[in-house]
Amino acid sequence: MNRSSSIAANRLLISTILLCMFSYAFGDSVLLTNAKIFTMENSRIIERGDILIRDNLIMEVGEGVRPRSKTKVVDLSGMVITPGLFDAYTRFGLEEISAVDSSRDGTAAKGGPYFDIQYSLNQASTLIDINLVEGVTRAVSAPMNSDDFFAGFGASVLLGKDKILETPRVALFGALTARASGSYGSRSVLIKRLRQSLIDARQISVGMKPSMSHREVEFRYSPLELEELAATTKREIPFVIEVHRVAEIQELIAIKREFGIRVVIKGGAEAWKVAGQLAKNDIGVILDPLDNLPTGFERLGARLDNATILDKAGVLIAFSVSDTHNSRQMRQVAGNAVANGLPLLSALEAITINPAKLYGLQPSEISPGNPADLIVWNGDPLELDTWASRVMLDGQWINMASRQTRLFERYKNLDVGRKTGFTYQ
Amino acid sequence: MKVILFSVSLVITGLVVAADPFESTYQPRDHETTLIKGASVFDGAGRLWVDSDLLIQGGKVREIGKKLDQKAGLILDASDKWITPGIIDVHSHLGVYPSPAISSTSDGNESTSPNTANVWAEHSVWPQDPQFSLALAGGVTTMQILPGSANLFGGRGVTIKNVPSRTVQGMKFPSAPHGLKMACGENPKRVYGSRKSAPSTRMGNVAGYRAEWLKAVEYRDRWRNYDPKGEKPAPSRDLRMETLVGVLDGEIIVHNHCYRADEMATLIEVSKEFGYKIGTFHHAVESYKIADLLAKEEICSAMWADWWGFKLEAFDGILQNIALVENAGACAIVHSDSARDIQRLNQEASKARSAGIRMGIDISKEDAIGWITLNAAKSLGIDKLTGSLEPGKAADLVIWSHDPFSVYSQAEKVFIDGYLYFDLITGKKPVTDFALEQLVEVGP
Repeated sequence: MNRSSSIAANRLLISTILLCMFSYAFGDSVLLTNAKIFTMENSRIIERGDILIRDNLIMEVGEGVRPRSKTKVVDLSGMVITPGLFDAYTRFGLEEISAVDSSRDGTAAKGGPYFDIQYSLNQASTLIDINLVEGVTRAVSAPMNSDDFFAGFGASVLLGKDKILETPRVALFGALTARASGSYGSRSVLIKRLRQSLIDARQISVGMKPSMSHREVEFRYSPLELEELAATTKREIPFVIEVHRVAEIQELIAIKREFGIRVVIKGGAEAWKVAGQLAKNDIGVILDPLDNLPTGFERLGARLDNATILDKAGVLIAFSVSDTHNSRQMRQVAGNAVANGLPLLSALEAITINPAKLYGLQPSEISPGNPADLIVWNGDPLELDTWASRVMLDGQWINMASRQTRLFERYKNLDVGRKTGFTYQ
Repeated sequence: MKVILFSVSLVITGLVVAADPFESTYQPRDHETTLIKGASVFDGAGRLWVDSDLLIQGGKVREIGKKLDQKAGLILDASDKWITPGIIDVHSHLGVYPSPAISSTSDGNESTSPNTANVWAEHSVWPQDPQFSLALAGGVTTMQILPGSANLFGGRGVTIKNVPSRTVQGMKFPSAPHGLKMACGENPKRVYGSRKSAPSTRMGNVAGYRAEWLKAVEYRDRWRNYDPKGEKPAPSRDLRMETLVGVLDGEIIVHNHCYRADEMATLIEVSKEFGYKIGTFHHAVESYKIADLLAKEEICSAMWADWWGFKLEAFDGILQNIALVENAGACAIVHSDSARDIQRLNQEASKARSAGIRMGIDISKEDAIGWITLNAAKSLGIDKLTGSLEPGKAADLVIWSHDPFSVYSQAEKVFIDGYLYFDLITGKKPVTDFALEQLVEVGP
């Protein structure tokens, strides 16, 4: 189901429901009590709070929330509640085993503005439950960048749904990297191609034919692709561009200003060097805070406190784990960002509400009217000795099993060491 | 002259690999006698010393205890801080796959023949790899650098101290045995199968190991039967076979890249057929399925905390692998195989411990720290020298800002043989040539 589109309607309904609440029997509802709640709404933290849930929605959040007549009360003393975690850049539903081509759909033979991953999202992927039971409930699945500027359209997904697609075409992904410029020989050509494509798209969007006077005809997209590009520019969805070196980041800023498009940087190894400019131009950054290796000449400025510097300058940041199989590492990477100077609340925002903001989606704050998608942690959500005790999706506790927990159950009594057991053949 | 001496020494010791070319030139640096006071000390050997002092003298740990009354040139207040042995990574490719990662620096896989036991990783190590310094900032004091896994026999690994040096010899861990990298499964069969040469299947892999071990046994016997006083000329030397005979003679430790439980069991059979010992299975994501067998055979498993799914043979990786291996009484090690994760192996150990606790397998922090210290040292054959903080052993240690099992903990000071190589507070750290004017030289 497409939940976010129904959120506005829910918000209208909620006031009516709240009004009726005291005069009618409340029906089956759940009250989560005595938990520390990071609502992620206006930085609100409730040290000992309650959440009332009815059906699939959050009805009330606060201290001393009263149970209704048929409310089931769940005492969560000592526990911490956050919204579900949101990984801002993944391959969920698009890749089962990285080295098995037949299990992958994130790469097109020919990428570009015509490629859209929404049709091949696999809701049965084992990655979904494996990460869901660790607290990841939402993500953006993106096409893989290749040796061209544009990779294609990505979609937001809701883990644990019968159909994981939430919102298609949340962004057009691309890259301004050494790899992307590979087939052109120089980043200059790539940048020129991007600029020309946007000029052509602009022509199309005002009903004109793209100008054919320039010489770089061989670098141009087809009319169909340019129409997609024009539509994208019109709809104001972001261009999410992988870029690392300062020189290219500055070109991207100039292009954003020239064409009035929305831009989000992915990666941004050297983004910290131009943090002020990014903040001023309202350009957010999606990054893996642990990505501090100078693995290429365009990322020599990589550092562990990139997120801290960006956040301090007022840049909207969201986190992503480079390997989607381990999207569950998101809280670890956020914890490391905190160890390197990022305020705790900023780190939590980067793995919950900020990705939604960057993509223009409804943030899943713990707030009346929002779907009850919550994680109950047995302590600090970013620590290594805590885990998701329970996961609630749409007001229902999920079964905390995955293919990996099943494998564990199968082999846990094998031990012939300190504990008694039996020996496998 | 050298050749003659070499041949003579071969015969005298009865070993093929007797002379020691590329010897370590590493020298511990002079340092002041150092007293660290009031710390919580995980000694790596299963103990936690609360509110204790640690004395370092002449590059060694001299004493751990309460309120040590010793004169020292340097006294460090470490109350509210934690100490562990220096972290040891048994599986690294730093220097052979350095940053920047480009084709001209890609020196980790001699994928030109299924048996390249003749190549030595140390001959590829670039000591100016900026990743060494990042690993040091994560508390790593010793690592084994291995060749890649394209081949059945990938070549010799080298154990190094994580110190800045102009030469790899200046980093080599003195007296550490060489490792032999072997590889099971998908990689060799993919690399050679795609070239329409052997091996192209798992059975081809096993046939390949056996054929080479047969040759090694013959080679060893040829040298054993050689009489330098007799009339027959000396057999010719073969660098591949010298490495394999080093394994048969117990001087070189086998580090076997092997994901699947069934393949590990098969490799154990191969080792028995030819009378060698497997030291450690690396990337052993399925060790939990045969933890009893690994305990019985006394083979270590070097594992990731949570990696899985990047290829089919890694599909059954589970978070509890390490805890289940430990619980079975087998030797568990957390390794990185990654320039990213080598920077925080303490966190990887912590995650693995938590995954066990979550499922009811209670493992103490004192034991879990052994996964990245003493067990790793055992795997590399250097546990008499380092890996735990005990009187007489190397003062390779880390002072942590918080409990090292916390995500917020940072290595504040890192000592190797008593010398302070990294200090988060003062910004002291090795800066490689490559880093000058290019990389972030200060700060994290």
